[in-house]
Amino acid sequence: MRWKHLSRLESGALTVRRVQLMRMMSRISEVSAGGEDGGDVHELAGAERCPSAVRRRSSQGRDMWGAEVPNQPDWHLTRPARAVLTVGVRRGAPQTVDASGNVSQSMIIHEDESRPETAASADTGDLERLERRGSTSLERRGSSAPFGRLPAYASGGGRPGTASEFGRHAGPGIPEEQGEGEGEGEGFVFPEDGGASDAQHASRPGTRSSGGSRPGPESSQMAELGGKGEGGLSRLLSAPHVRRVEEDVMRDSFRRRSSATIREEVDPRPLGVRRASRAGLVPVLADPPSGIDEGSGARAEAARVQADSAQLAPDTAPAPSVLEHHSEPLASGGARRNAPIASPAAGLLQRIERGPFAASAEAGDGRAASLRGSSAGEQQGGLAAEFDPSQTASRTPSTKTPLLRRTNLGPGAAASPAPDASTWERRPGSATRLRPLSAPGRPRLEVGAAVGADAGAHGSLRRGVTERLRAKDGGGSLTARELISRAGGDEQASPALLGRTAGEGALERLTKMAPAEREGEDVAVERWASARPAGSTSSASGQRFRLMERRRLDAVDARDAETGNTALHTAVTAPRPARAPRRASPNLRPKVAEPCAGGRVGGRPWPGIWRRSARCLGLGRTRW
Amino acid sequence: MAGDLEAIRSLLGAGADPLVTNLAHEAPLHLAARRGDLAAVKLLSAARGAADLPGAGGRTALHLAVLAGAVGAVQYLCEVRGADTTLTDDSGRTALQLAHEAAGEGSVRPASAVLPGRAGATGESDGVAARGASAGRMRTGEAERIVRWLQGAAAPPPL
Repeated sequence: MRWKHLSRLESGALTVRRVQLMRMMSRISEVSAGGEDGGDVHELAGAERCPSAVRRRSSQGRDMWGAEVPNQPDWHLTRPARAVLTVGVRRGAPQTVDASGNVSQSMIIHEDESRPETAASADTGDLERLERRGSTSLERRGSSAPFGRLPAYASGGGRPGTASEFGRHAGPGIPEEQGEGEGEGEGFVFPEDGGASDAQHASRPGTRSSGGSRPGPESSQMAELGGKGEGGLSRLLSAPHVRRVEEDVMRDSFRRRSSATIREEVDPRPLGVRRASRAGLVPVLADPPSGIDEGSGARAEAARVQADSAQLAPDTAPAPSVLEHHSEPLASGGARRNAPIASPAAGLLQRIERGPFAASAEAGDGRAASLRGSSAGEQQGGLAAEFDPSQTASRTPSTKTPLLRRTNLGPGAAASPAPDASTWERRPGSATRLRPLSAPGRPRLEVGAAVGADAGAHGSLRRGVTERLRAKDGGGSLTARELISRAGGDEQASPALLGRTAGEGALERLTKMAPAEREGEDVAVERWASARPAGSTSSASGQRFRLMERRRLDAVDARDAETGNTALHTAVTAPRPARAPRRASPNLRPKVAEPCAGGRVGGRPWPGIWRRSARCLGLGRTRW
Repeated sequence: MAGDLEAIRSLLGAGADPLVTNLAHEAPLHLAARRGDLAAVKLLSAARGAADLPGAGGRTALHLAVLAGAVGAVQYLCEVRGADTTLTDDSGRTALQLAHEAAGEGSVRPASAVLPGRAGATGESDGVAARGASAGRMRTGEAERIVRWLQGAAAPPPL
């Protein structure tokens, strides 16, 4: 495990991921602390409530844990530490994946309109202030009295209507918090499904941050809010619902350098889950089941997610914005990374909401691509990919629970009719099939390719990943995760894409682009966002797709449209690569005449003659 | 010529489905068996049910390996992967019958004469299709070896 890659908290997904890793490593309640200097760490490390899980990054880029951390003289922090406090409520956190990768439980969503919302984050971390101004309350498990009210932070914490928000809190639960539950639409949630921007949790640059935490007595009480400030931190730490405080201390150079690879190399999920995720299988939050185990950890998580789900209601949620869930730009340094992403984008968000592509031309920075195609009205009802474990028994034999795609959303979801189920056929050998979701108006469909939503915000480092999308046929069922994961791209790139749509015309182009679609084949598509002008609906884009499709046919599951051959077929029939030429045997090596200093040939002196040459010349025996 | 084994390994490692068939209903294993590529057969037949997966013409990998004269592949499929030697292709021929036809009439006793009801007991052996598919490539010695081996494999264990 490479901890050096854990130092980045570019996204909420990573936050959850790191927490998972911390759990794995320390087997204790996750506590880490960060401060501006070693004193903070020392204080925290020596604090009674702070166990050994104090981690900081040294100037050499190494992560160090434990009590020896404060004694290291080489701490060199270029900017203040950042503390991410995790507090609040998490109801029904399910243990969805066991250690061996089995999908043991399902996410259960309990629709309860009267239950307070849970999502919240704040920049100050001042719980009291949050409580004062909050529009969202956190409710402790097992207690009907909310301990506070948390506001919807400007950066999007607690904002309604995004899958990112949904997934951010959907980490695997604590084992003892497993809950039983079945029902239609069960699924589980990967932490990476959502992945809200960590900017939501980040402190503002230049602020002091320190803290620690203690193991929460109510382990299921968990929500997340970003915090800073000692006063707020103290209060948070003293609050019974605080479970962990994370630190994000790193050097700017290291962050930039490692930002491109961190997502690939750190994936604490079991193998089966990772494969399922690569296959584009994202859980769906099901219809409200009954009989949820009240008070269990699974319950807490389910309630948490349910709250997010409720916020996704198309009739109440505003248009999902692209920016509010983006991580900080990776390629850019400075204080901008610490700034909540929504703050500079507030105006852009408004422009987005005005109409299709309204903000595309106006965004002057790298967010132009993200803004492109995020029109609210373009979202349509779509399909959900249903995972059929029987079709992939050889790959994920332990998968027992059908996984449904958690999708979304938007005001257009209810308005657009769902495709006819009869148009979908199960593809032989396919692990996924598409089915229309029947519940009209239920905002769990996500359509559109969501292209351009990521690369622009994250800069060129991730552009190569997120631009490779793949479309699936059937008239417009394209989820961002599916597109990315099936294209072999970085799954971690998808959280920022989830929950928003590709925009005007994208869906139509994707569904028209290749004849193989009609047969249910996967078609590799590369995105066009960088090349396509905002708002353009020209046919040139479609042509571009086709070209790129051919170029991507070497993907694992891609097929040749003419022969139906996969890459494996091609590999079998391909000629074996030529081997390196064999080294000549020493016996076959040409013998080199040995030089001699001189001698006599034919009775006469022959200085400097080569013995073998002399013999070859027929000069007879030489005397040396 | 053998396939690119490294590519096959990589693709399988990446999650490629070895049982997926192309438009000709041929899985990669069928292609490998038809080419007599033992190494590729070993890699591709690991999936459960791959050895008995019918391909084009209802022929399994064993059929194709027999037609290719790949003795090693035949032995591997039968011994390691447990390929069913009684499966018949669309023409009703078993692998043993195909091998027998490729080896030539009369050179080896038909399996049906040796083991009624076992391998080679079904179908008629006109030999035309088999020879057309394989006799051009398959040497008689290899075919006879396959026949003898299949007969031995199909024979009941000695008491």
